[in-house]
Amino acid sequence: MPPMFHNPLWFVTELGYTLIVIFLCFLIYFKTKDMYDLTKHKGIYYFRNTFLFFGLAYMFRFVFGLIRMTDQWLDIIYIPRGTMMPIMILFTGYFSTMALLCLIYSTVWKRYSSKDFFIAANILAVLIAIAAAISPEVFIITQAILLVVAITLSVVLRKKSKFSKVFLLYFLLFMFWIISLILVLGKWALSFELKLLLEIISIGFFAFLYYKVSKWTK
Amino acid sequence: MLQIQRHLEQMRKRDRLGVIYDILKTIRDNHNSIKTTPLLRYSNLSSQSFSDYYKELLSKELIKEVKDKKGKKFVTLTDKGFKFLEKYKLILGFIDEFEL
Repeated sequence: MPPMFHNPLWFVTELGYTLIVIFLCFLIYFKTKDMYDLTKHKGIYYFRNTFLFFGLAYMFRFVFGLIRMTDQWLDIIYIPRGTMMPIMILFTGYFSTMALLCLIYSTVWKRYSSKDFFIAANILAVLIAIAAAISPEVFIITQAILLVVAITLSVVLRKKSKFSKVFLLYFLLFMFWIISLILVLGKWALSFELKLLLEIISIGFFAFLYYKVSKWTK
Repeated sequence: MLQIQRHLEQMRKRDRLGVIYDILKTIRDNHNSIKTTPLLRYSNLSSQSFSDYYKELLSKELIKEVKDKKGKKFVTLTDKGFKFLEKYKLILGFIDEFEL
């Protein structure tokens, strides 16, 4: 099986995908700034931070992939992969966990409000980040666990019987993040076509989210 | 009678943003100049609650206090206050859409 980034085309698509997703995440963050400044609404605050953290997580995820790739590309430049890769996963783990926790909290804060949320979230994010740096597989599993926690909380705390479209969106946001992690951290490589398809769908999803946000932030 | 009950019910159910909107709207509808006492009356809040909101609006720079030539204190909206009123429905729509 060829190495994951051996083909420059992999790099180009990965770079394009990451830049677009980061751009959309930061657009959502900055588009909602005005709204938050006017209201100081907690839900908006955590919603915004979700996308700030996601943007940063996608950025470090890409850098991780880049370092991994350089081993196959640049034999003449020494890159301490053994040190750099765990550091990059550490940051990815921290930011992605914060993003997921902020997203969960943004929807349940009215029912379960805690002044210590940010401290607790930071502690958990650091612990998961350390676990991620030790074992990428554990990282993926913790993100999947957070997804299960999110679903459980949304059912238990919210007690809404009707189907919520926005929860489907949040679920997909979680899922695309986990898939993107598997694409970079997974030891097995997907076919280029499948990877490209997943990335296009993911970009389409982020663009749709941005469209939904921009409707209210004119 | 039923209408009054419904109105009172709605007043009770006002959330934080709704209260802020009502206070700002009251100021705007009074030619952007009102004394605190009638503002308290129109707001349908307890004195303590009104005082908390009032301080919050001042600190967020949504309203400001001005004095006339006789030294009487009036409350007016700032540009940010007008912007809040303008965007209120969009903000509510956003919060509702994303269930925040």
